[in-house]
Amino acid sequence: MAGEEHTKWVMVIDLDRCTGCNACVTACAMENNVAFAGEEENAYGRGMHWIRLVRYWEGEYPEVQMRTMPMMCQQCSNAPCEPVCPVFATLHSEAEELNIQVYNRCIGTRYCANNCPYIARTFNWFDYEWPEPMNYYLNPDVTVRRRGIMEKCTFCIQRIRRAQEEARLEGRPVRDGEVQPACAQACPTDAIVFGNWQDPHSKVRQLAESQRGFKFLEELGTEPKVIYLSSQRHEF
Amino acid sequence: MYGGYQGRYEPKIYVALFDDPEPAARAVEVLREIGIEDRLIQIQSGVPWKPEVLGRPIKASAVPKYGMVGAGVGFLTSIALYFGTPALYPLRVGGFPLFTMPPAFVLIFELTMLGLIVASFLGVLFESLLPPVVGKRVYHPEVSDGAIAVFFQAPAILLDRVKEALQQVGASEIEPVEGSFV
Amino acid sequence: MHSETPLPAELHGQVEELRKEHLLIDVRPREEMNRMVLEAMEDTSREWKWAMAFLGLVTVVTLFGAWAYLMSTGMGLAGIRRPIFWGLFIVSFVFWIGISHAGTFVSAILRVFKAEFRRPFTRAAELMTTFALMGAGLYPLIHLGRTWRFYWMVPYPNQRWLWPNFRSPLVWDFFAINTYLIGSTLYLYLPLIPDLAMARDKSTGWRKKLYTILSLGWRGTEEEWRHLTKAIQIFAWAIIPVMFSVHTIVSWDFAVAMKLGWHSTIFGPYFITGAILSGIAAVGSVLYLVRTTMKNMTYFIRPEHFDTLGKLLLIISMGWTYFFFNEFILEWYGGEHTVKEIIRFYTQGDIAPVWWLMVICNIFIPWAVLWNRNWRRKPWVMFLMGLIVNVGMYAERYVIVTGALSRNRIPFDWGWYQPSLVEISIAFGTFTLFLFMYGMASRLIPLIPVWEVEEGHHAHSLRKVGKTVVPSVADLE
Repeated sequence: MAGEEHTKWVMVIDLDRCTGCNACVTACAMENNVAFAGEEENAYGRGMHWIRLVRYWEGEYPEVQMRTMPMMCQQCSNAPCEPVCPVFATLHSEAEELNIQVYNRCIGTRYCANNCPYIARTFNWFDYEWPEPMNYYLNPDVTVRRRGIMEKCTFCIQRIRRAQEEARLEGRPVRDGEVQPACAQACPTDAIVFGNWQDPHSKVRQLAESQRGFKFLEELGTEPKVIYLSSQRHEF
Repeated sequence: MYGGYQGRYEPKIYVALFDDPEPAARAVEVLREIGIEDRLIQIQSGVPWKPEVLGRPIKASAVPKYGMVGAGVGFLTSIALYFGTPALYPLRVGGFPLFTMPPAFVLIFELTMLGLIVASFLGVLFESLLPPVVGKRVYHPEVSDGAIAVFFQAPAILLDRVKEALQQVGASEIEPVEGSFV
Repeated sequence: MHSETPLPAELHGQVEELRKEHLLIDVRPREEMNRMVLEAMEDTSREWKWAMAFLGLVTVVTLFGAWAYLMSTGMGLAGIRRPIFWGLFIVSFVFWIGISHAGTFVSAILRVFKAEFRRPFTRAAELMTTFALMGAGLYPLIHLGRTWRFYWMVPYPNQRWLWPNFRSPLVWDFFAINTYLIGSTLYLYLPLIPDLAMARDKSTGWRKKLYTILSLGWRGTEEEWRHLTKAIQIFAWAIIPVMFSVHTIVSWDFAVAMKLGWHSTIFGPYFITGAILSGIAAVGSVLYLVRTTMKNMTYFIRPEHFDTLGKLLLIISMGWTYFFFNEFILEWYGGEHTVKEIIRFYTQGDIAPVWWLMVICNIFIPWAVLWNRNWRRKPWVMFLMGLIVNVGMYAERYVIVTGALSRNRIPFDWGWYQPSLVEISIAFGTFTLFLFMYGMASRLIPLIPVWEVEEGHHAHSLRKVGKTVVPSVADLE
């Protein structure tokens, strides 16, 4: 049936276009009800962001250049986080080929976070409160997580689902560009592109096959589904 | 008078105490010579003397059999858990196949050993009838002070002969005791 | 009682010396040994009561109080932060699992090899195994973000047909630790039954009732001994591979991870050696406490025992050093960026004081002290060695768990961990819990296996060889 064909969701991030503006981080937090850990906790290293900008300074003053690399869960095909969970709280979805985090099932061993080479996972250290008026902005499509469980980027699976359902109602396949995660939507330079790898005409497919493309820590064999584009090869 | 006559042949359990395994072993020999069979003799001691030391029949313990059965149960449980449960609800993780051998060995080993250990322990309890479920059993508290107590079942008519023979091999005192062997 | 050939009068001086030295030559009647052990057990002095009350109270506050606070507030009370998701809880977990190897090593390996010197302290060591495992077993619960959901790791049929993930090392841990805990508790209990029967015959009041139940009606018949000794044999053989599996699986928690500094094939034997090192060291410390704080123990636990423990400790410290050297030099030669950074971080980074503390406590001090027989024979020296080596081993686990996590493949996300007060309080509370349980048990069960000591007395005799006498052992087992 249309809309239910095999999909492999892929994200392309063009590092040459990334300005390091942090719009993706903000949009992700709004879309996914990411908790406000507060200034102090953030400074301590407990920010809850699902996407973060890995930032490096290059060169000697005054010739200093900032390089940024948006980093989030890479939705690995061979995800190291999955087999170590004792309770199947994180596992592989065969339909979407995504790495799923089941919040209700998680008991908080934090093993998955230790085993993630991308340091993509964040833990709910406390029950966080949303400061006024942000508590009115919670997204009804996304679960609010409580303390003691792990969470991470989902590729905005709620948006994927919505697009699939709409397409099914209209009896057509999901169109390229119809699904846009919050980070891609917010990116002012269109550095983040999202789409279905199985569709040979999709934008992600075209971009990913560019010579600038690479996968981060590809040598580990995790088969990430985020493809970075960069005209320069830097030691990240 | 009839009862008294009967009483002289009715076997009763007596105990003789020894300090060392050597006189105790000789006492067993003496009792056997008089005609008291090995099954009518029971020795209690504060340390595990081998049957060879006391000149008693050598029997194998059935505890290893319990252990083997337990290990088998543990092994089967581990197989059922490891290979059965993923089939009930298949969940893919980390690009692994659903049934993988190397991690199976871990579970198989642990549960087999658990079965072996628990069953051996239960084997000791069952085989020795611990804790006791039957009535009063013969016991002499000096056993915990290191004495070797030789219990034997003999009719009263033989008692004088037995007493004399046992005192010759060095028994301190021979007294009747209440209770049964098992 | 012992029919020995009488020795010539001129050798009596030597005999006296040998008696003073070796417990198993220094024969005393069973009655007297029973009395000595029971006296030590029933000696609930005022000091002991105060010590127990203090330890109990401290445990309730620092361990259970802090744990309740942690559970009700959140894991954030611990000092861990991205990328160091495991901290002092896992360090303490590995540490206590290590201590638990002491008992099995002493009571199973030495029993299998019929090492006679083990006899008086097999139980004291086995008791450590059980209590250390209980302490260790708390940590997988404490460190959970949602402790109240711990039972989801247990394989039980449920409405959703959802079972645990048997491919996760944490589930292996669950099975290994439970097998080991059940096995070592039964292995503690089996040889205890005859001594409980002895206590039943000799005590009065509530103790008599307690021991009547616990001794299961043991009488010491040939049948009972046959099954008991057979079972002890089976247990001794079975518990050794279980012991190895437990710490190997604990090491796999780290070694199977895609984490540099953890992913190492040598971790299994390296962890086992470390566990036995800390275990043997802890036996020395505990035996010193038993010897000095309990009545009549100077008879049972003698300098010869500390001497032998010291030798074992030295050998195992060398074994540990061998694995340690392998672990680091080969990784360092490999030359991978991140690994080099991890090794730099260990030796020169923020964690370096802890790393060097480990090297000093586990290598330099034991090697400097334990070669000397006179020092090994001093109980207080072995007490201090036990503490020092265990500080070193705690440091080792601290470095492996938190140090390796501090460095990863993304330099932007490097971190640095400092334990929080709550974590330190809980870690401290396990020590007092251990001492509390041990102190209580020392007054509830005969701490010396009297029947095994008597068996040793029967097995040992003095034999005249030329112009001297030597102890000789008969194989009675």
